[in-house]
Amino acid sequence: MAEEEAFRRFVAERSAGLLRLAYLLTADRAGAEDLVQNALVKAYLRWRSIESNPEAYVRRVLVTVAADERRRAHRRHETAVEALPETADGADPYAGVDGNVRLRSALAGLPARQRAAVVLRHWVGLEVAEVAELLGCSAGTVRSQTLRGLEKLREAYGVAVEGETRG
Amino acid sequence: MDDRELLGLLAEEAPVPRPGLADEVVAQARRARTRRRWKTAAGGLALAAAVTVAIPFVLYRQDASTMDSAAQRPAPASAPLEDQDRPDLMEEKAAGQSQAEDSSRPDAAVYEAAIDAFLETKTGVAQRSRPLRILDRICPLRGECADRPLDRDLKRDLAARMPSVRFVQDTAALNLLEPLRLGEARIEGEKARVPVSGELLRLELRQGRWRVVGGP
Repeated sequence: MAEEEAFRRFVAERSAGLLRLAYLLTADRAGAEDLVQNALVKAYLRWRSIESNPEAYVRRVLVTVAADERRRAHRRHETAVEALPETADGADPYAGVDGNVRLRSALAGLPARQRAAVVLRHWVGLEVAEVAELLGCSAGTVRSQTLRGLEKLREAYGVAVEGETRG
Repeated sequence: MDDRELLGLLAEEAPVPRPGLADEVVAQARRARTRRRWKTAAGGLALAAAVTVAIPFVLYRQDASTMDSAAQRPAPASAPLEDQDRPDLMEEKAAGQSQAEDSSRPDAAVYEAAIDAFLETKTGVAQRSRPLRILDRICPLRGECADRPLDRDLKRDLAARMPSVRFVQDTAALNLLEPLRLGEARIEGEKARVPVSGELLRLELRQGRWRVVGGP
């Protein structure tokens, strides 16, 4: 019972932060909720062995599942594409609307591992080596992926701001 | 705006935790745990069932292969060729050999010792390696043989002890040797008397073996 109490306390205190992380990793609200819930179920089942640092375990589950494009696509019956779908007239419907919307589209357009590298490095604040260990790649790959991902996000946000300024 | 602030703009759009999230998670985890236990139990049952089916099958196959190899085993080298043409006699001998040592009649040893001694006396050498013919009728010391055949168990035990023996109906001589005629043995404690081809042999049990002490 004490274990369940501790788990419930952990969920109450940390679920908001975990949802934010899951959302940044997936760029999908519903997907983020599913991801967090499944990770928490795994955490509950292994609570005794992870009680000392449950957040690290849950974060690892979130990253592992989110970064695995095939697993997520299979589970959600979706297929990842490199580019955002084009509209009928070729114009971006969000161009002059909001910088955040543009930013969100850009985040969703990043490859899953690139997105994970950016989020873990600059949102969670992990060191390059830690990110590399979590993603199972080299530090150089993390650096390059992070750089490219951030460029796209900045560009998207900047374009949006510029569009807003023009509009 | 630094990179963390940039990502923070998006993080603000993240969903907020549902009020009953912890309850949902705990309930889902319990269901998963129950499913896992059922799966484990079902796997164990399936394994037990497989073992229950497989063990008798393996034992049956082993028995079958043992029987096959026994059937393919050649007839004993000491069996005379003419015996191999007579399945009934071969069967009788095989049955006799397998049971000779532990379940033989007590008078079989008496007959065996008497026959050995008789043949050695008459021919000078033991005849056990040669085809040994015994008339399959009870023959008294004097007079004609009875119509009764020798006791079946006695024949079986003698066949087991003396692989070259054949029980015949014909009294005709073969290679100048007539078939042996056996009468009923009389055993009294450690002494015995056996009629063999008109001779009465007296035997005594010494050191666990019957030995002829008087006769022809």
